[in-house]
Order: sequence, then C-alpha cells, then structure tokens
Amino acid sequence: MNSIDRYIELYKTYLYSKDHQEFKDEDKGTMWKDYSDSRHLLPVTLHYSFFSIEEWQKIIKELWPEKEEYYYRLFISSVMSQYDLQMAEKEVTENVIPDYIYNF
Amino acid sequence: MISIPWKNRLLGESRNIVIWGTGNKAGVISDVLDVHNSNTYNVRFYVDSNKQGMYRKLRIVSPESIDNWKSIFCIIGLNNGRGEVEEYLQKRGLCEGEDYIHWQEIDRKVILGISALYHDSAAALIMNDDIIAAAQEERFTRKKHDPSFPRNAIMYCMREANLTFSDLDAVVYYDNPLLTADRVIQNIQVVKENEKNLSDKYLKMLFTDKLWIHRKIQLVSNGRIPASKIYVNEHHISHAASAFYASPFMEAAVITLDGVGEWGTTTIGYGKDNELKLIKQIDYPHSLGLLYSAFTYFCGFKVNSGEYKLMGLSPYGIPIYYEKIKQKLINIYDDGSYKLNLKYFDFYLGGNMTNNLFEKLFDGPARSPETDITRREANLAASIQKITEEIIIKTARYARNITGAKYLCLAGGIALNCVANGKLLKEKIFDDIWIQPAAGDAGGAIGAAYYLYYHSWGRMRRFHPEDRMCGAYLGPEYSDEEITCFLSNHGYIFDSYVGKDGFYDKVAELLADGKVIGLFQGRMEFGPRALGNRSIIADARNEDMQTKLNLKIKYRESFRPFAPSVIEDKCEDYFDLHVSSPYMLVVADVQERLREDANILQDEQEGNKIDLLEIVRKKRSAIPAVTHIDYSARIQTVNEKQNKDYYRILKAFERKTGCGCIVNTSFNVRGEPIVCSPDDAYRCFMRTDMDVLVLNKCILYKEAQENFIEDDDWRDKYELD
Repeated sequence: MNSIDRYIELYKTYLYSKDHQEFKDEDKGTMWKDYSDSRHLLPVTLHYSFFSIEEWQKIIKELWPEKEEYYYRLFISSVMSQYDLQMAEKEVTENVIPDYIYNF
Repeated sequence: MISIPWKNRLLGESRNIVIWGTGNKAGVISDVLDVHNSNTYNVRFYVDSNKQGMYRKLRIVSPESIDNWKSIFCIIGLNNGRGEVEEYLQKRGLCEGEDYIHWQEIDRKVILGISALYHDSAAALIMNDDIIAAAQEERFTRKKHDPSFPRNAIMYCMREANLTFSDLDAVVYYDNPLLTADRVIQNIQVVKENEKNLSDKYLKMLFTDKLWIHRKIQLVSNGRIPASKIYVNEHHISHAASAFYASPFMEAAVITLDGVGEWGTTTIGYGKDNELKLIKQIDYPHSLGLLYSAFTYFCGFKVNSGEYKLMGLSPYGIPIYYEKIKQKLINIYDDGSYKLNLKYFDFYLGGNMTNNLFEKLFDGPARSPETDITRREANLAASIQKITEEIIIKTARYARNITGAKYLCLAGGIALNCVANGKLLKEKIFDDIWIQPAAGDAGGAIGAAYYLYYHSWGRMRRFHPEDRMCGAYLGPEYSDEEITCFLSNHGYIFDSYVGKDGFYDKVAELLADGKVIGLFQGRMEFGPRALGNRSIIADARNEDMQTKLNLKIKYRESFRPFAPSVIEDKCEDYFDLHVSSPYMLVVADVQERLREDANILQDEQEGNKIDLLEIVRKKRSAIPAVTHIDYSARIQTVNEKQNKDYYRILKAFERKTGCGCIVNTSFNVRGEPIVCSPDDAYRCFMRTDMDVLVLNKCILYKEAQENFIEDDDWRDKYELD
C-alpha cells in the first residue's frame, strides 16, 4: 500500500467510525469513548505535505464525497495561498476559481 | 546555556572507555562514536555478563573480569537491567556523570516543539530530558495570546541553546491539522444551514494556514529542516505529555481538559516511565472548556482570555443557577463525563457562544463588555464554577478507578482553574497532583517534543525528584552588564547594587514603605503566571493595595484579586495549604486566625446591583491585599532552590516586617503581555503609577526619572482582554 492509500485508509477508519454521533441527542449513560491511538504522531511525510494536487483531490473525494467540489476549491486556494495568500483569500471570498489553478 | 555534549567531552577522556551492553543501544553508541572505524575515542571493549567473543571489532568481557573499575569510564548501553548495572558500578565507587553515563547522553537528541495558530503560540526546545528553553510568542510581538507562527520564540530557543536548525533532530507541531479539518467539515455537514458561516470562520483558516504548518517550519529555518524531521502530534496528547513527562511522577493518571483540540475536549490517560497513552476521550461539541467560555462570553468577558476573570468573580456570587444549568444545559454522569444540550449554544454554528434560549434561561441578554457587573453575573460565575468543580472531581475519581494510579497530572486550559484545583487537592482522590504551569496551548510545545522523545523514540525516562520545568524560568534573561548598558545608554537614572551588599534589604524597605515595585530579574517565566522574575510586587498587609494595584497600576477591573508569594516553609502560618505550590496553580484559604469579619458578602446590597469596589475595600484579613472575599488566596510558595533572588527579597521583607508574604501580580497592564525585555519593563513602569523599578540589581525611582513622552496613547496599543 503506498503512502496515500495508507493515509486514506487510516483516516477513513477513524472518520467514518464517528458518524456524527457527537451531534445526536441520545443518552448513552456516559460520554467517554475509548481512545484510538492508531493515528497520532505520524511523520509529516505521511501527512498532507507531500501529496500532489491530484492526490489531494483523491483524498478529498474519498473522505468528504458530499462536498468534494466545494472543499477541493477551498483546498486549491490554500495551495495557491502558499504563493500568494491575499490572492487566495480573495478567490475563496469571491468563490472564483481562476483558470490557472486548473493548470497548476 | 547547555553543557558541552558528552561526545565532545569524551574526546579528552584519558581513562579507558567501555560500553556496557552488546545490543541495539550499544550499537547506537558505537555508531555515534564511530568505534569500529576509528580510534577517535578511547573505547577499549564491551562489557556483557552473558556474552563472550567480539562485538563490532572489539572484545566482549564480563564485568567480573575487570579488576580496577576506577580506571574506567563506562557508558551504559542498555535500557533493560540498567538499574542493576548502575548499582553494580556504584558499589565499586563509580559516580554517575563522573565515572559513568547512560547511552542517551552520547546519543543526544534535540527537539523543537511548536504550538501555534490557535492561541498562545509558543516554542520549546528540549535536549534529552531537559527543557533548554521555552517562550510564548506574545512576549516578543507584544500581542496578548498571539496565535501567529512563533518565529520569534523559535529564534529565541535556538539562540538560548546556541544551536543551528541543522542541529535539530526533530520538530514537532502540537496538533494534527487534518483531524481538525475533519472535525470542522463534519461540523459543517451536520449544521448545513450555517455552512458558509462555519466555512468562513474555520475552514478557510485551516486550509490557508494550519494545513501548511510544515511549510512554515521549513521557511523559518531557511529550508534547513528536512520534511523527514517534521512531525505532527495530537492536541490532547501534547497536553497530556506536557503534564506527565514534565512531572516528578514515574506513574500517573493524566487528565486534560480544554475547549477543543482536533476532536477531543476532555481526556483521561495513563503514563508509566517513558510511555503515555490516552484511554478515554470526550469529543467535540461536548466541551467543559467551551461551556465555561460560553459563560465567560455571556458575562461580558473575552473568550480564551477572560476565563480567569469569571473565576475571580465567582466568590462574589451565590450558585443559584447551579440546578438550572444541570437541568437545562448539561447532563453530568457519575463517571465525570458530560453532554451539552446544544440547543442553548451557537458556538458550533459559527455564531456567538450562546443564543437567545440561553438568554431566556438566564434572565436577559449577555452583559456588554465594560459595562457594570451585576449580581446576575456574579451568581452565574459562582454557578458555573461549581459545575466545573463537580465535573473535575468526578473525572478524577473515574481516572483513579480506571488507571489505579496514585498520582495525577493535569493540563489543558481548564487546569489553570486554580479554585477547582484547590478543591480537587482537598478531596485527596490522589496521593499527589502535579499541574503543568503552562497548562494552556503554550505548554503543548513542551508536550509535543517530549512525546516524540520518550514515547515514540522509546528513550529512557529517569526519576527526578523535582519536576522538569525549572520553576517555569525558561525564557530570556539579561545580564547585569546588559541591564546597566541599557539604562546608561538611555540616560535613565538608577542606583546600581551590582557587586554591592544591601540590595535585598533595600527592596524590602521599599515594599514595607508601601511602594509598588516592578521586579524584573533572571529568566522570564513560561506560562501565564509571573513567578517573581517578571512581577509587580507590593506589601500584602496594606488594605488599600488591591484597589491601588487594580485601578492605578494594572488598569483592570476593581474586583480582581491578587495572589501572594509566600516563603515556602512559612506557608502554613498564613494559609491552609500543606503542599508546595511553586506555580501559583492552587487556591487555599487564609488561616482563620488571620481573618477579620468584614461582612463581605453582598447580602446587604439590594437588588441586582452589586458594588464590587465597596466589597473589595473592606479589610478581610491581616494580609488583605491577597485575601479574596471568600478568604481564599491563589498561592505561590517560594524556596531558595527555585528562585534564590526572589526568596531573598521575601526573607529580607520578613526580617524587616515579620511578614513572609507579599503581593505578586504579573508585570503588565491590562491587555498587555507580560514584559519580556528591560525596554518593555521600563515602558510599563513609566506608563503606570508604579513607584519603583528593579532591573536585576539596579533600582529606579519614578520621581528620579524624566517625563516619559510617547507620541500615541499607549492604551490604544492593547486590546482590552
């Protein structure tokens, strides 16, 4: 399994096990949950930093499929923000995706 | 400053060097000293009780075959059984640090921890067991609770250690931004109607800032920190590690409580030796920290800043809303876990902390900041304080049950609630408690670094009878020469006691004379408390002092109490506290025999109005300036080992007045971070009605200074907290 697949698996296991339980109004007698320590302190190279834009698109699609386009747009802007923060903020605010981002 | 690395010191070692062990750790030493390729070090052989032959080109001998251990310098190259080896060597007259060391001393690891981009950004540098330096970014940028990437704090840590970025073995960020992104995204999905609100408020910030923490780290180092050395930890593990690894305990339960990390808001963990694991967690949006902050907001104080004020206000009120809060806002279970009734809150919708249902529940809208405080706010403060204490005590009982540990470590912003800490201590659920003095996010920098070092890298953790925080004196300091130079260059008038006697007696005389003194000496404190090195001090016996300090020096609300510093072995003369409290994290009562019946409760005042100043002005005890209206005090005990200069001031004051206790409040004005440099200190001194400034051994008197003219009103520089 390469690092991006490992990454997605790791987070999916964690993310989808939650199923928004925190926001449901039910009395379970306790709010303590067993802690899962499978995910902490990974080297940053196994995190987000070294994935390409295409890999990031895959992550967003896999992890948050309902909002893929929206989050991808935000994310792309954040990638761009590494080069020009103010421009990226403007793009996000105005909901505009300039062509050059697609050619990134 | 750090000591010379053993790797360098051993270059001049004339004795034969032996490495005890032939396993992985011995191999590490062998590699570091390049034993099998060169004769740079005088390494002669390996010692092993169970093996014979050769190891890495050198002979293995048994310990019994060595006749004269005194002619040998030994490096213990093993973890398991190291205790027995130490005992063996000590029986033969060898001393640690002189005749033998552990492998970790050779394989030195330097780790930079960073907390940033929430609030109270900070950096901390550890070298093996030791915290070499730690500082909050706000002290350098002069922006209180500054959340920005702590470039200045990082640079300070590197300077203090005299290291370059290439010398770092790792950099650890205290939080996992992607897990936080997940929480924010799930939050948005659940409350779809406010999607844009939440996205604007949180997600953009994450995607444009926090997710790029590694780039910021690489940028600050000019690319000298490769990505392979950068790690991210989890928020509450960083908190837990800051408490457990810095504590004097080798085994302990660990509780962390704050607003929110990635998902977690409250956790219970267990630490033993070098291992630490979280066991239980309560997830966002159910958060005691956010509940407390909701009341902070509702009472007109600033969230993530005014929680202290709410705690300080609580003794003025009666907890009449306690039952209502339990019925409507929060379900508290016997095991200390809790569930918020979300319909009363808006924080998870991207709006204010509370909503109109909350207002209806508590008889009207939230108090506007800077308006008069009414009896309602005081009663709300008392009520939420009682709820907080109940949850903390129940959680502690549960933690004791599930871990079986005798000791407890605490961290997270809620652990700064010293009133609750005092109650917890009195319950005696644990044999002893240790609280990280930088319990808020700043301390996460220390925890992140320690967690990598001990837990992930499996480095040995040795017992230290004292904690690892060095009294929290981990920040910048200025030499006598630098101070004298600063004062002379600016033409400021001062009396120098450098190299002269009489300094401590002079400071004591000024205190006894009713002077308010800005005290600046030694290394700056790490964490929110000033502990005698960046403090404003005064005579605790003076009944006008609390009002004077609040209104003319600190420019803050009249009701806020001040804390005492007391000579440690005289603590029980003044307070009902039987343990040391070096970090001012525990509240205890003033001894009954010192109290005066002041009719302080506000029953005599009618209606919703409450005159806090009138209450404050009533003399409450023989040390009124540090006695809160419920006769409590937030105590700092001081001993000579912890802070020699501060201890000597206290002793001199005691000799002069018979009182071993003074007022200690942070050296700043409202909205300003605690002073860091002599320049900050001088400016704060001149802007206020402070009488005297002490910079190391130099004393400045206000009346001797020329007028201090600034172009702008300094009050505009600081946002009210």
